[in-house]
Amino acid sequence: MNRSHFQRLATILVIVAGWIALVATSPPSSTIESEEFTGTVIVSPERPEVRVPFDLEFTQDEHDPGGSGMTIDVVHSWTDIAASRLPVTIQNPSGSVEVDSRYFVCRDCESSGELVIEWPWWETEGSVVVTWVASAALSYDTDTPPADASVAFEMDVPPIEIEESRIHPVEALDEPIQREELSLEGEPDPADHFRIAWPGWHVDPKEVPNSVLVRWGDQSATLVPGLAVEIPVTDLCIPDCEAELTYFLDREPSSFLGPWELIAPLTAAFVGGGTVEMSVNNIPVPSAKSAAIEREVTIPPDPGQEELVLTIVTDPIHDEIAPVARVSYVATAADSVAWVEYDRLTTRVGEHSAAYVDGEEPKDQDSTSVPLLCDQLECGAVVPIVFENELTEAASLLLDLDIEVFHADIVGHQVHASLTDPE
Amino acid sequence: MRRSLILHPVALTALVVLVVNDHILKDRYPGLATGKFSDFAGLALLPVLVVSTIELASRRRLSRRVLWLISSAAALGFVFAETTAFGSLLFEHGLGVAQFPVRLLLSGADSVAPIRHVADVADLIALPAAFIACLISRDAAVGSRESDHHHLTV
Repeated sequence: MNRSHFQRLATILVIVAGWIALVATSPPSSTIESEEFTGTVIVSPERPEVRVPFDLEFTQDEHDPGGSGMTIDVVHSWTDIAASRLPVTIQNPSGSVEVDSRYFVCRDCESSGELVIEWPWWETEGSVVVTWVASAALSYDTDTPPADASVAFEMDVPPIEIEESRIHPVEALDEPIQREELSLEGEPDPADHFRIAWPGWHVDPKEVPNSVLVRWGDQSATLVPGLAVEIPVTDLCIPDCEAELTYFLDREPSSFLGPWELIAPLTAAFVGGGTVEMSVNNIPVPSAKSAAIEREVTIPPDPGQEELVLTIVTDPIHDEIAPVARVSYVATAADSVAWVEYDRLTTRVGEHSAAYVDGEEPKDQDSTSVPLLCDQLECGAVVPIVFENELTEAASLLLDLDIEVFHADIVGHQVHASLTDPE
Repeated sequence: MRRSLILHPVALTALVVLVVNDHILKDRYPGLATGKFSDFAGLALLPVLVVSTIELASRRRLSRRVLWLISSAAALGFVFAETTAFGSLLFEHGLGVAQFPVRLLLSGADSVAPIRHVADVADLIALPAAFIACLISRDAAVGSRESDHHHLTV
């Protein structure tokens, strides 16, 4: 290899290295993110504009005010903004709030803004649930952000006002939670269809079912928030174009922390010719009543035992609607509760590994809900409590039974909690 | 004929400064100096890289007039990116696109991600560095002639 070849090879290598250094690897970056903040608001013709103020607070005082030489950009992001098909306007859903950030040295600096959600003025009825997840971030053009940097994000979401007439505490699964009557005037084309969408619930979706069942005639479809279901007009127009849609919970809620609301009216639209008249008939249900009973149960040491059964019995209740017991417990045991099962449905209530040490506060706590089956005499439930390991020392469970009953008075308030060996 | 600009000691120094500053010094000694080193080094290196790449591909040396044009274009682009929001946005997405192949190979990225950049007028202090290529091209040409002469007389 002569000198010119060597020089050419060196040129190629340095050019490649230069482009990689200049383009491909520069600039490195790192980010500090705030906690995520979830918000939910409802807009409707009665509440056409919702303003949600937010504040950013950031701190960094490690470096000389003369300039850190780092690029720092405060960005707030909005993800998972969900709404119905109505074109709700959301101002400032994403973007950045720039602070005087090039040479950012700031202790408790603040920046504020406002998320504005607007109802489309041309829509005269209905409502839309808008949910979002927001966070803020400080970005640096270095691999490692300063140790003292922090960012906090706060939102002041206005509370959701629920009209009393639209509250639907949970009932049995076979009880409709809402009815709607549809009637269609004119001659529909067989290809026409109804489009029905369900915006969702007004409260934390973790606490309520994530779908409802809509039935018409002998047919049904499952509605989930944000997705529309199309019903062929021929299904509804037999024998005439008047139909009643009924909505049901399609599974047992995991907890009974109501009340919550099915957004009414559901947005129903007829795609095709003709006119749709729609009326909503909510089913009024009184508020729930509850009784809380606290009971401490001591479990004797019994090597080899891995399962205990908790029996909850209430006094007779003069109503056909099943009450619900919400069971929460604190386990003060070396080997604590793994899960609670009920009626072949396993409700996993969390991983439990509370290492109990004398004098310490119990660390292990969780809860689950079980329906109390009722016959004419009593309502009872059997809850097997399964331990992850064999019990080698005395343990205790602090049971907090919160019994909710709808449509009835609670008679007696008495609960029998007993532990029996399944064998 | 002069040798490739990219092998000039000034260009090699700019390359080393860029890498060391971006990946080591900024982290360990954050401050005004390390904040500007990369601007100087990057701006000095960019025209040199463009010229050297064109020359390598075309197998002929570019004239000094073209060198000035490329350096001026780099300087104008830098001013555009550091003084206007649109220029900054263009820079973020342009570099994001350029980085995509590397991210695809190294981390299996499946989409283009813009880099983060904040326009800062104070960075324009590094602007003269864009014309270093013009200065070292004369030096490279002289060095090359001396080298050729020496080669002939040996």
